Amino acid sequence: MNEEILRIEGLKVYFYTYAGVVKAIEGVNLSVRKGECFGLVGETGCGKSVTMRSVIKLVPPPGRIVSGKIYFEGLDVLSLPESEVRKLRGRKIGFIVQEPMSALDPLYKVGYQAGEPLLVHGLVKDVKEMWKRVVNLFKTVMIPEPKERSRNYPHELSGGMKQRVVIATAISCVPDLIIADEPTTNVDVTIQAQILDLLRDLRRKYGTTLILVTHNLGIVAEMCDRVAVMYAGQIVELANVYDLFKDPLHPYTKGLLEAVPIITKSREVRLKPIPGTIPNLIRPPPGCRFHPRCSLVAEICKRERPPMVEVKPEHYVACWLYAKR
Amino acid sequence: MFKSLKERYEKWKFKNAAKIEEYRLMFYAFKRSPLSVAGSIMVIIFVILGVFGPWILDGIRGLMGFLYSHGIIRTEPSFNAFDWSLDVLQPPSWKHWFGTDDYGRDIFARSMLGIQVSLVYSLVVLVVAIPIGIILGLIAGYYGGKVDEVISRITDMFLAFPALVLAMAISASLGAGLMSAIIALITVWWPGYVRLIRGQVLSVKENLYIEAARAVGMGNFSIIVKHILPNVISPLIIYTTMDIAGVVLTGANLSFLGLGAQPPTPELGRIVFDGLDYLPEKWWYSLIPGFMLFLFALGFNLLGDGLRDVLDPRFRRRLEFEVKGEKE
Amino acid sequence: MKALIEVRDLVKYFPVKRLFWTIGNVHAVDRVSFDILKGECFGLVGESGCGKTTLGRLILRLIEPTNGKVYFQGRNVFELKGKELMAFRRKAQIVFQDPFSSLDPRMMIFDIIYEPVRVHKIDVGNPEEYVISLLERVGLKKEHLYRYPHEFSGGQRQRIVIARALALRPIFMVLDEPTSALDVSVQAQILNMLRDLQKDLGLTYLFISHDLSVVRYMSHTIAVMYLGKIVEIASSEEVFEKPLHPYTQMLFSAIPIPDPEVARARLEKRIIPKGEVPSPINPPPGCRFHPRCPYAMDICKREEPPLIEVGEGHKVACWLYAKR
Repeated sequence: MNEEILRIEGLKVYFYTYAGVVKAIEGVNLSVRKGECFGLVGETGCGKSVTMRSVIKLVPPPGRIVSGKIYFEGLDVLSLPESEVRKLRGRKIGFIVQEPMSALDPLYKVGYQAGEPLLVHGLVKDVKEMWKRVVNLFKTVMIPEPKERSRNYPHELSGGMKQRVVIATAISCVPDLIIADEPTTNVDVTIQAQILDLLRDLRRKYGTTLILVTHNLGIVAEMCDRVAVMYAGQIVELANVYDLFKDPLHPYTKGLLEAVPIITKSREVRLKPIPGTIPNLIRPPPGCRFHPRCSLVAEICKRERPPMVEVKPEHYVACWLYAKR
Repeated sequence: MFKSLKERYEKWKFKNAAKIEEYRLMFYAFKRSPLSVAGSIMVIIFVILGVFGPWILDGIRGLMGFLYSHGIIRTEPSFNAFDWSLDVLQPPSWKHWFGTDDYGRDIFARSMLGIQVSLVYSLVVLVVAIPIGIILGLIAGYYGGKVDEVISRITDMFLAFPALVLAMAISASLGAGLMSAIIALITVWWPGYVRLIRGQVLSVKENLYIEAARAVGMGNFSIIVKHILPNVISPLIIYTTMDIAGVVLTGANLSFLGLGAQPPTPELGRIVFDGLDYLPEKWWYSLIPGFMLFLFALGFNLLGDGLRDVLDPRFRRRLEFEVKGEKE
Repeated sequence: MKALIEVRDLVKYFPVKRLFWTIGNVHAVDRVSFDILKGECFGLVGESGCGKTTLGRLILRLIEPTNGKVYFQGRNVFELKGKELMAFRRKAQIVFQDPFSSLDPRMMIFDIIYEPVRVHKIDVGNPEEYVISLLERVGLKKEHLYRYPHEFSGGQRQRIVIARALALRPIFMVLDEPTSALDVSVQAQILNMLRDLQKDLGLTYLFISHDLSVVRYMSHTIAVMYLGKIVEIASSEEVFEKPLHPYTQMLFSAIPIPDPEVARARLEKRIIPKGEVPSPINPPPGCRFHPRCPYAMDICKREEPPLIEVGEGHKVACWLYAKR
């Protein structure tokens, strides 16, 4: 059960822009266990998507992986040649991208696009067999009238259907790991519920490991087993989902939970916003990157980066409140 | 007295700091690209030649005469632009820097004067065509609907003809000459601007600040003048800069076909046209003025390219960090 | 309390043209009626394409209706002309969703905020001091006065937009998804500020959003919209504790709650939403929700349910509660 499927060690990703070097990811460590649903939460620009793109070596330029190691099923992904990494993408690691609207090529039938990974990885003999598999695949992701729909072009489908096609593409080769990068942004709540339900279903059926990248704390609470909270390119807290929500340790996690309006809360309970804004990662604040916005800031926070410590079993936090100085 | 001056300066500085910063960035953006600097230098030279061409020519003539009379140079160059002479079709030499044409006139002198004609020409065309384009483009783009339909279809009709053919037809029917060439070019040129402005307006109109202005109670006219026009100006400037070369070249084409400026008015395109009969042996006749035309067009194009970067706010933002990074 | 705004049978169709012919109408807003009380925050929620944004714009008369009336302080806004229209524009303002396109990039903050005052020729004393007071009101500083919009983050821009809306001292504001482009931590800042402004200045809000949690936090009364129709109106507490319309129930059960225990307990009894929102071009006959409704009956397919009062200020448009 506790077998590791993915381990990231000391990952650093910098973006070399005109404006300067954006230190998007600064030393991220995490490990994902086989069969679990792992959540990666954080606000815009915290580096959660980039971290996951590093796993399949698809950091968009001008970004570059500066240092660190990524092990997927024991394989050192970053030192693999491109041809070997390509064998992982789509085959072993399925990626569900953010924008279903632009994730599909308008010139090809959606069925072909969903089945393309099968062809690329040689899992089907010919196109004819691929189409047969695609119809089954569309059934799996619960697209009504799968045969007819697979012959449609992207513009003929609604947003929710397109997202299902994208999911079908990601699971076509029955990967060991699915990375879903904000699978439900720009999607209505009712469709979101359907998509999340589908993902839960797939996990139940195939036992696939799922990494869910999102900014929505509600989705995390509903879906994930373990959660990592990211802030400004670093992981600040990592814990079991129940522990994290019941007893958040890092001031940022606490702040987030108090800042988000919850439907079951009375409107009399006032939200507590986190003051200030997300720092510029070209010149990130020294020490703990959260210190300029933190209400419990101490001298050391401004100077030294807090180490990740295990405060309770399986509950890690990077904050000087809990670390030994 | 001084104190109040200083106060006023401080106040002015406070108010305009962001603006100054913006201009500094523009300047910096421009300066860092050698091609646009080269382009602007070329443009400046050509504009000076265009405006002061005859006087500059007189000056050179005077200087050469002075040098000759003091025995510093042995032969005095001839800058005879209009009179017939016996030095027919001479290759470039010290006497005739760019050679002579079939009437024995000096091509250097004629080219210098020709730039003026070309420049005036293109400016007149643009000064008339651009306002037509702005007004019709703003109306069509902002109001949309039937008005847009009418204006756009008319512009389409004009654009459907090949520009040169249409210009030739108009110019020929009005009789060959500089004036009719200008009228022909204006007729051909305004639709391009209507289309450019209309397209820009359509995209600017989508911005919420337009709707916000409407919600505040601003009238259509003030919205157009205060919010739409300023936001379509920079693409217009870029387009115009590149377009000057286009007008000059089309004008040269007309002259080249014998429809524009008539002899003996020197005009670059016309000179190229006249020299065509003598190619390739008497290459200088056509090629040297042709090369000047090329430089003229190139200069404006490079400048336009540079301006595109300078006027693009996103590009400036990227630079902003660079500049500030250097400061720290 | 008195109603500040009365919306009566408001209809807006957008014709859909193919080549030369109109092939149908988008029923963006279809015979909608409700009241907004003075001093309250009226929340309007619905999924994309339900017509909530169009409704907001209609009320401010930024677009003309196909039919219907909107009374603002007893006067039909669609009949206002000249001075009266200007007076209405002064009293009613709007804040848009996208803070990046709602500010003219070529104007400085001072000009942006002062422009409405200039348009209405109001005497506010020293312009600079007036704008500074507005900036301070929304949590910005004097230094920001002569800067361009691009120098600000999304949250700050939204503050500027709010300051511009406040410049005319309005009594009513339409807030069209004011925080949906912002991050959680910044969203809370803006929401709290809007609530404080409402209390301090006695403003009336129409708060439009697709995010039910945000609407719940902001509003006193909530109306749920589906395909151009209001399906349920009630006080905020009532809607969340006792949602009656099947669509409202479905919406609520679809929201993930940031508490693993509650969220997972809710999963057990969730009504999994069926299907997707049909096209608003020629929507389904009868109750528009019937193709997705778990309780759909025969009558739902034929006749449109009326919006009837079932409790104190609680209205619902569903055949489950209406007398046939």
